[in-house]
Amino acid sequence: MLQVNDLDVNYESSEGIVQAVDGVTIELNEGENLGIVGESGCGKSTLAKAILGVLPSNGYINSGSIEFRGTNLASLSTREQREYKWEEISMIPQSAMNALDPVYTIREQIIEAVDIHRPDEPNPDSIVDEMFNLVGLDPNRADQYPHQFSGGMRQRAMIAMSLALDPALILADEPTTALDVIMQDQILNRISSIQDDIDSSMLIITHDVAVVAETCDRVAVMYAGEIVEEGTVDQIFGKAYHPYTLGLQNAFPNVNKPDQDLISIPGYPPNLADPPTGCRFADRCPMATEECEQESPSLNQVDAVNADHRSACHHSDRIDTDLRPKAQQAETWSEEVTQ
Amino acid sequence: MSKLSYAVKRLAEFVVTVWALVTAIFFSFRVMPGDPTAYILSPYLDAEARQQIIENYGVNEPLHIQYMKFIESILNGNLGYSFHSNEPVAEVILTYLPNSLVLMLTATLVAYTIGITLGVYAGWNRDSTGEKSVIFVALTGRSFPAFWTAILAIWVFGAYLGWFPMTGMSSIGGGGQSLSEEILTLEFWRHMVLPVLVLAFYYMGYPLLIMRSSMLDVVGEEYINLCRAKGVSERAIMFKHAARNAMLPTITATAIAIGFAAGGNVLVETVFGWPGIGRALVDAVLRRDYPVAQGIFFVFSAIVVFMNLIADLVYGWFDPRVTY
Amino acid sequence: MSSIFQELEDDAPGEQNVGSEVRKRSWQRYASMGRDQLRVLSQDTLFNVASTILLFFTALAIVGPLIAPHRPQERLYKENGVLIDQWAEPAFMSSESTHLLGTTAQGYDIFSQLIYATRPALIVGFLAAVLTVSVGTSVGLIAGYYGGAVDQILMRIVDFAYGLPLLPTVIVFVAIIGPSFENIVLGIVLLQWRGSARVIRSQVLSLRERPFVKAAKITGASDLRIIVRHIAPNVLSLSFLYASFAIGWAILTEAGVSFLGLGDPNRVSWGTMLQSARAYSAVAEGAWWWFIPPGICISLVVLSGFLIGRAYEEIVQPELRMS
Repeated sequence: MLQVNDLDVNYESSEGIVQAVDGVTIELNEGENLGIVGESGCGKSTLAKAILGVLPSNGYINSGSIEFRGTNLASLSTREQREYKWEEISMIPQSAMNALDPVYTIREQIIEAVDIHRPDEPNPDSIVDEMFNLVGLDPNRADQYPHQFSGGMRQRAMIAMSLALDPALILADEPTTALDVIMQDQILNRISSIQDDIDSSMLIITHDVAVVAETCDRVAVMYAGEIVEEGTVDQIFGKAYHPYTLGLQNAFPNVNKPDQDLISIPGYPPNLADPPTGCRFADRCPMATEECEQESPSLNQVDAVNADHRSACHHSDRIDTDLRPKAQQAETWSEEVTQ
Repeated sequence: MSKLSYAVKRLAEFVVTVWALVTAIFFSFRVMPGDPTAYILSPYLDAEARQQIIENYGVNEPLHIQYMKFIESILNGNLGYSFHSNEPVAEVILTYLPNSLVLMLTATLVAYTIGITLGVYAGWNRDSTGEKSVIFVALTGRSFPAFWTAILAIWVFGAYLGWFPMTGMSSIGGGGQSLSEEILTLEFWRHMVLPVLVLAFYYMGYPLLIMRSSMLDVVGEEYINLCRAKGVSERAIMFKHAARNAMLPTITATAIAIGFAAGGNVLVETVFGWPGIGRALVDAVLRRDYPVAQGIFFVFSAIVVFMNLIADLVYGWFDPRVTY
Repeated sequence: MSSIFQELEDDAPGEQNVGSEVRKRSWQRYASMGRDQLRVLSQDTLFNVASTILLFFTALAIVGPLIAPHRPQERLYKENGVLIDQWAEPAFMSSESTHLLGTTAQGYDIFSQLIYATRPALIVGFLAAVLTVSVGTSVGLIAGYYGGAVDQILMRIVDFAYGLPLLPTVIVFVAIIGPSFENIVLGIVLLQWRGSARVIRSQVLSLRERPFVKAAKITGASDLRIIVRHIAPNVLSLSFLYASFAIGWAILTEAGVSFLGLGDPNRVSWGTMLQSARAYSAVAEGAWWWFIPPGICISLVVLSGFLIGRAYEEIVQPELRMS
């Protein structure tokens, strides 16, 4: 359904041109959920904005394409793009409080979307009611203002709005980051149950691997503007084949090993206004060699069996032997080793 | 607290503030250097009349008695009598206040409409040449002394081009009508054009800058972005969402500006020879006509405080987040 | 302005001892903050233009009387020494005139008056601005920091000050106390402090809750020390901002008061020049060289103040509401 091909998205900034998204290729099929995982600043939000067509004024698509059911959205004019917005592709933003206009009621804001895309809709109010029921909110409350809702309810109202026009693709940008753990669980459960009812596919963007593990079919791991590994959830979480992915998993607590210390990857992501040649993870990678610093690796199949599990690492063949056994030991990631 | 009880509470505060103003005015006029009786006794009175007034106002009585009588007379609507013309001060005010109100409210309307609209565009198109020039014009309007702009306007449009009359509220020979009749004549509006433009040029900057500042805050908000994702047109976003949210601080400023309109603008009124209340106040002060000065001061301050109150209430009506 | 917060938060709370050394470090901080801001500001063309204009007028105020061809109220005579040289046209308009900008109805040299008037204008501007902002900042600091009854009382006074219209009150004040220069400045300051007081107070209210202030309190720092060391630097930018606007407002107010005839009779200011021009119907006489230059001077100085303020506002966060 969605095929992003070799997408380059840049920002103009006072420091020069920032290459926020560099050569990203991902695909999302009908009826499946894809998770994009990465730390802050890796470019996943930019990728989301590019797909939704809401890049800020200093951002632009430099090259590549975003094909949605055969049409390249990047090549469309603003007016043509508008027809896809919300009706085909909608979003659930990170913070519902900030994403809702405080001076209009929820009903008014949902109907605004309906009026734009379906001006001849005879009964927009019924859509509002139907959506509210779907997310478990009392439809009578749709006439209230955002500040009158609690945090969790606002998020549900946001979900209701995103579903209003029956979109084929929903983009969830950090849907649970602003919520506490209990609400996270509720929202995720609700999203799962709704997906059973409707036909949308979902692109979930988050830094929380646990969310991805629970809701997605496939995962793409992003670092410094590039996709470094992709595969099914089982493949990635079962046996990752990229040093960064392994490091990422260490940063999350393991229920089975409650006493284990969390290990973080030392160092910082590179400055995307001046990206390094070669592999962008090289200076933080315990397995890096000179080849890594010279040449940028491409996404290649990990093994002969699974064609859909790919990793961008020169040494993915050595991961089984060299890195995976000691990936969960702190010394593996210490400063000296990775310098 | 419901909206009603909040309104009542604010009304009570209003009364208290006005009382404080009245008291302050009373005392300040009496502690000024000079003959204290000069504030009550007109220098034009003969001995008998002076004695009468001394008794009425209790000039020789202790201050607090004078104060009580003062408050009493105000509550009766008696603001005293002009030294100059012996008219009741209230009448003097009613003669000049409407003239100012017509002029100032029109100018405020023009200034705020233009200012707010330009402010919306300036805030929306940040860092564009349009925005920079708009700000420059706004600041320039504020930098020219209003009376100087008035002189220039009269010189260019009145003397040089002869398009508009140069002074006064009505042409010579056309007087004698009441204001309500005058307003309906074209001549009156011809006289209004220059002063309104001069005043609007001066007042325009403030709402423009406030609106722009407000817009800049709003433009970065997440809900603006979401509207784009929904496919709302840029124009609709600018007006329906951004401006609507940015309006809130401007509403307060507008209500207060209306309050200040009641004070007239002594400089512009003087240059144009407009018989307004700003000029009346200054004339009264210069002539030592203290009852009139005091009365005008009081009425003006009361209106300003009242409009502050209105501003608060109106704001709550526009912003659904405000709870009382 | 993250650099300031950084430095202040790094501040080890335990150094109550060496007083003078601590004070020296405070001044160094202010100085380096000022230098940083100046560097950023000087990239803004409007700021540079405005600063140049202001510096030019300041220089004029200082050396003016030395370079002016005549004294401001020196009656000038025509060549024959008998007739007063009144209503003379400027030199660039008529070949027989020796006056750069002509003379007034009373035979005074307009150009000289213009120069002499620079000094009172700038003194009023700067003096009133400094006093206004000092009073306003102090009140704002105290009200915002101590809160409670002190805050309530001070804010009621501010509300009251807001209820009084600026120009009429200054006029009344000057009319009663006496039309002298000092009284005009005093009258202006008496009301103008209200604006900065309110804004500074808001800022202090939010700063008061910041972790570094609370930390300083816990370690036993005295109130005065907290105000001076931790809070004041962070509101200083706001104070400067208000000061640059206050210069303009003060000059305009003085011009207005003088224009109405309540100016200092012993001094020539741009406002009194305009009053004079009006009194002698310069517009009707078409003597634009009399009433245009003073207005231009006022506008230039005031506009420069505003532009500097605007440029400064762009680099000071958060964006201010002018009130």
